[in-house]
Amino acid sequence: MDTKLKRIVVPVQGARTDEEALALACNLAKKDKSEIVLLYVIEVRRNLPIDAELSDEIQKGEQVLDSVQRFADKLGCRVQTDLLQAREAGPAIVNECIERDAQLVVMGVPYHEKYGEYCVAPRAQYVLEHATCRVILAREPLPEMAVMRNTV
Amino acid sequence: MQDPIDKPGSSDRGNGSNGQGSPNGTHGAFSADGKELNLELTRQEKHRGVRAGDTYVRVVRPHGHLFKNVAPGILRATEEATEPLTPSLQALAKVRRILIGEPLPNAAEITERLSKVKALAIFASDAMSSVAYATEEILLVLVVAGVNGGLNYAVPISLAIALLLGVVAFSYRQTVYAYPNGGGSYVVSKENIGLVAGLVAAAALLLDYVLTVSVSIAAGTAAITSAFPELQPIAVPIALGFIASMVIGNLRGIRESGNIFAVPTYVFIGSLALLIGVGLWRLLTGQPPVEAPVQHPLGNEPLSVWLLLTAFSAGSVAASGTEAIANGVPAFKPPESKNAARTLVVMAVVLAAFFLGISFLSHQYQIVPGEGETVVSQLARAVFGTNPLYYLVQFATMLILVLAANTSFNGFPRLAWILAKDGFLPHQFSHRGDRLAFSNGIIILGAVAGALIVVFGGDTHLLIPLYAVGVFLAFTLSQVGMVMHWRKVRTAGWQRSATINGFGAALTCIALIIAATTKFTRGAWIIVVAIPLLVALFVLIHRHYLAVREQLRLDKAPAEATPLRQIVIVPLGELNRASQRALAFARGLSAQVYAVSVQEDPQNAKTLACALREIDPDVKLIVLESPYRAVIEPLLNYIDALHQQDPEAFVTVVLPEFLTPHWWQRLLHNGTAAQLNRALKPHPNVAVVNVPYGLPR
Repeated sequence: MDTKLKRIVVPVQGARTDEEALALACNLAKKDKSEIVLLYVIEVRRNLPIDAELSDEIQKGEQVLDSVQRFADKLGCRVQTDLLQAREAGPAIVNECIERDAQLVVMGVPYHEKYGEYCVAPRAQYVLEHATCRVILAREPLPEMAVMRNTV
Repeated sequence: MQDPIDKPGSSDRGNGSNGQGSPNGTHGAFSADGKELNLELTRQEKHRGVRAGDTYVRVVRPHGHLFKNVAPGILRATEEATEPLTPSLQALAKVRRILIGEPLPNAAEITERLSKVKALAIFASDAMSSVAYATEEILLVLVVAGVNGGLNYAVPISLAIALLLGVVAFSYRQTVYAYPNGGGSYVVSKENIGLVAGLVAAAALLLDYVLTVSVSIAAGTAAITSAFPELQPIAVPIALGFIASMVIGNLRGIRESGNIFAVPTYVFIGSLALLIGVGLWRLLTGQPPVEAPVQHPLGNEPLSVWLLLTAFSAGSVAASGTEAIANGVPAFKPPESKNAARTLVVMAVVLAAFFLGISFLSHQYQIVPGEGETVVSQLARAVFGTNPLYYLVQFATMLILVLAANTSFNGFPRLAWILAKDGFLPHQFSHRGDRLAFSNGIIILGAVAGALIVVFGGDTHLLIPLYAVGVFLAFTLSQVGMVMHWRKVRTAGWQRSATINGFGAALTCIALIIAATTKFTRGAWIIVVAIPLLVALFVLIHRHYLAVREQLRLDKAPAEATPLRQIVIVPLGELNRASQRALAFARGLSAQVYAVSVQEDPQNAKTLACALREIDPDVKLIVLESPYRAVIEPLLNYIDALHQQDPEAFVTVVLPEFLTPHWWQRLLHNGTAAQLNRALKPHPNVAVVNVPYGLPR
């Protein structure tokens, strides 16, 4: 089985886990000198056309990509950036990975609870289920409350 | 398999199907074939996913490496977009990067700020260096009355100077809080006394900064050539080398120069603290000097008040450099004023402690200044003996003397920047370089100080008397300004602050008068002449900027911009691809285009007229026969003559120009287009448009 990583996709969303995921991807990319693609997906509401000009959202996406790219520069890691518009982020990430022939997706996942139980965010869930390449989820450390609950 | 639905370029962001246009209308430009130009350099590509209905859009930025889309209608140039385009300039940029480092964006300004530790090293090196010679200056004056007990007054005079230093530091501490944007004496004097007082203070400080660099670098070089006399013939190149390295160090940015220059400053602080500490301990424990000081002869002049005042004035150089922190408040990390004030207090305390310590120990060890050895050197021998610790003190002293110049490299560009912002110095001084340092100020300071060293042959002792006058003039104006400031603001406790500043002003004024009188014939007159000249220069520059602003100012209710009537002229030598392109361009500007040809030979004119009639019969050809073979002047005179007929019209000269791929090929052509361009540039009613035609080989 070919385990060489030519391209790693790192979806970002302006969350606190973005940098952690990127740092992990940069470490993994060192060995094979892999290309890293930062991906930001704008979710377009159903009442708008898919190619609607969403200036504010695009601006926010550019800012997130710019900020993560600067973090990558600090790590000494060269990255490409990609901005997509889609109805849902999950399918867009999966499709873009196929389009770009990525061998790995590294996603930062914030800790999230629903009805008192941990649950994976829908976009991460979708990517885990449908991505044709490998997927690594980098979940942030447990918040203090959850740590206390787990240890009691 | 996925297929892009729209190929690149087929769907522009500006054509978003929701009908929203760009708010600032930047999509409204069209290319020649009527296609809308994408001014935001972004387009959309529709892609189909693996599942039905998985359509998504990729926002493509083909020039994303050059421009970042910040907001609609706003693009931010990346570092790559600022790189030069020609190989020679690229090579030059590489050299510059090796020397001064990678360019920093404006956003990095906050990270370039100084911590208190680095700021102390940068801003205090000038003041600290004066410890190395201030006591000696006092003793050199008092020694002439040595037989009559003159040297006994060294410690009381040092105490008075320490008091003066405290008052000056207190005053600048108030300035730091009152004027957090920096500016020191200039801003305080300008805002509270008046513009002329501010400019006088600025001129005095600028001169002081230049002199500090020249004198301290020359002193450092002298220390090296004293140790290695064989280097004496190359003293000037060594000094210039020091200045060049300081210029480069400071062009690398204030934070990095702090890293480079902090270590020697702290080595000096450490070694002097050790010297004073060990010296006091030996005195307290009643131990004799390790090496008895050399007994130089004492003078037999009578001890007079004038002599004591002269000694006070001479020793007051210890206070020079105190103003640097007040000038550079914006260089500190936030909270800027608080950090600057704390650094100032630490500097004043350390400075006063060292100065008093050296004066006290010199008195206790009965050190007398003489030829061949400094007071600090004699003291170090007395305390340590001639051992590695002695050499450490000497080496650190040499370093701090050189590094005193570094304070000026931070003070001068900042003050020049403030003056340039106010329109009293050329605006070029407000330019920040690749590393966010005020590059032009740094380079000019280095150049002027270097020129002084060359002119004085590396021996700048003659410049030392010039120092004190400028420094005390700035101090006095600043403190008078603070007194007026307190009277104006009348905050709680203002009377106390005003009294202290008033007392400081009186002390520094006395020091100024003494310095000016005792040193006038020894060179201080130069400053007395130079300051008014510089002030006059500031005023001249300011008048020019005011006049330009006045002439360019828009009326409050500007008239609607009406299109200018223009006469379009295309100078033609012969008809070729380049001139045909220029004619086509000119036709785009106006329906009526005049081709003007300056010809030596009437036969050529006929050929040209025939050829022109074939390709564009609507263009009217005017032939200027030139039997004296001149090309430029007849054309200029013809344009003038046309313009005189219709002074309201604007003459647009469209110049055909071909570009050769190699620089050496350019040498083989007349370059008439470039000559015409230069000749027409000063003409206020002529616009020159160069229409280039690139030759492939």
